[in-house]
Amino acid sequence: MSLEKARSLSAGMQALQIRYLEQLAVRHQQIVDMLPAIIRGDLGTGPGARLQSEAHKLAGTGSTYGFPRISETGKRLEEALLARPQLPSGKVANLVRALLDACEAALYVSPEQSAGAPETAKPAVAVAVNESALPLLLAVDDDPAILEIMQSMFTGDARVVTASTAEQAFALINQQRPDLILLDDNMPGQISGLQLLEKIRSIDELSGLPVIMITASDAPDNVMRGLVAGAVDYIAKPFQPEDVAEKVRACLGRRDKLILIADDDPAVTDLLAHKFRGAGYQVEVACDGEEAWYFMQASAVSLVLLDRMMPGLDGMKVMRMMQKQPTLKDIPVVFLTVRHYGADIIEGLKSGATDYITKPFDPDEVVSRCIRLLESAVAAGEQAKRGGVPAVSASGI
Amino acid sequence: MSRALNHVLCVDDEPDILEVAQLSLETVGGYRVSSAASGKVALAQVESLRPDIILLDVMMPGMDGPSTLQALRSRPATAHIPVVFMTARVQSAEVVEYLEQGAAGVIAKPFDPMTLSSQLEELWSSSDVA
Repeated sequence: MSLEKARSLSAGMQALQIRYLEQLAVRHQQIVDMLPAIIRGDLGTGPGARLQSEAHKLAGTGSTYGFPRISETGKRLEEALLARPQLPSGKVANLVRALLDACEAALYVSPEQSAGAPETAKPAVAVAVNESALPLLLAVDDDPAILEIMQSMFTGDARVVTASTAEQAFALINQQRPDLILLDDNMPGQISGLQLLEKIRSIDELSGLPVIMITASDAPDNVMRGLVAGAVDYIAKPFQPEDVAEKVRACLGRRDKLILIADDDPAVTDLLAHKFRGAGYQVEVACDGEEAWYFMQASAVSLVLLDRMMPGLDGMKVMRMMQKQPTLKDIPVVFLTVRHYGADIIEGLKSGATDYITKPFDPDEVVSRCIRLLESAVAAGEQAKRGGVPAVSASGI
Repeated sequence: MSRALNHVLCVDDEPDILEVAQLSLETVGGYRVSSAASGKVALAQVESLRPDIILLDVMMPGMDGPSTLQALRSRPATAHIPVVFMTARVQSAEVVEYLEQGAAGVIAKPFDPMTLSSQLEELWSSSDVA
């Protein structure tokens, strides 16, 4: 192809991409609207067919318009819906979320990101930000100056709602289900921030909301109270806005990460799922190795927690199968097991497990180790992109 | 001397695909491009348009690609026009099935606008009518 033709095509594609992105914003919203019914598992035949049709259309168009992730996630969803009409609602919801994430990445790409992206994946335009698709942050503090700082800090990155008492915050949490709560632990009123956190953790449908505690100081007592009550992180006053932004970004970034927990003991999966959701991650549970294997083929999993001994396909077999598949071999695997002899642990690690946790375990420790593992991997990836040596290796845990 | 490819009819129910295919084939390939949003519309127009080749989506609501191809083959005026399927299903067994149905070739979806014309030109050159 001549340079002149390539330039002409590129100019024409820019105009078409703008229209594609405008239509994509509409399609994205239509799929978002279906999500509650998908999660409840009562999407119905008509909307179910519409979802499949949307997945098919997005799979067939994304790469053509420069967004290969839309094609990949759309294809995964379409194939899963076609192959398994009775697919559990949680699995469908995760596939749908992956597709929505891919659409959002195309819609809300920043000019810096697009400049650094490869030519084939580089969108011609960034459409105006659709506010409703931004994450919702609830900032709770009795100091109006702090709330003002929070509101101005996240403009364009998150929608911020504020509350000056725990009671107001609780009403907002019920109405709007924020993606992240920044909660002052010491507020006047009938209930303190810490009591609000305990209340949130005691209500099933709210218990997975990630909360970052804002503490009066970084004295160990202050910090520990919040972490023990279920805060995912803490910010000590007086704080630097950039430190807050970094913690919020890290926590919101976890929304894109999917943890797969495979164990035949529901007590284990329930407990860990609850803890990981509270830390801001998406979670999928598999009750055996076969289900875990099926799920990781269909979804973009960030980390797998595998019970080593499961009936049928055990954890070791699943990991070996993963190692043979190029798309799965780099996913970190953490073994959970009652086998705690040194030789077993060494065998597991030698076989390629990234970490090895013996039962009985402290669930908070499991979550902390996995967070460190995932965030080290992200840091290493960013370092590698810049051409340097990773600051922390995955095996450094 | 072989006959040059001049006029392409694109058939797809997805406007995004029709637009980008038209842009790509006109700009890069230099072809004249007509488009139709369904198999039925294509059948209604094909005799007056008289395209050299038809680029036909496989999965369309109503009349799908294979049914449209069958209808084209059953009409003397259109039986000879090479038809290239566009589809995301390009496993070898599926490609064999499309070729057995009478397609001149298969182009995988999603396609690359930079190379669509060269893919089509190659299939045109190997067809009986070129």
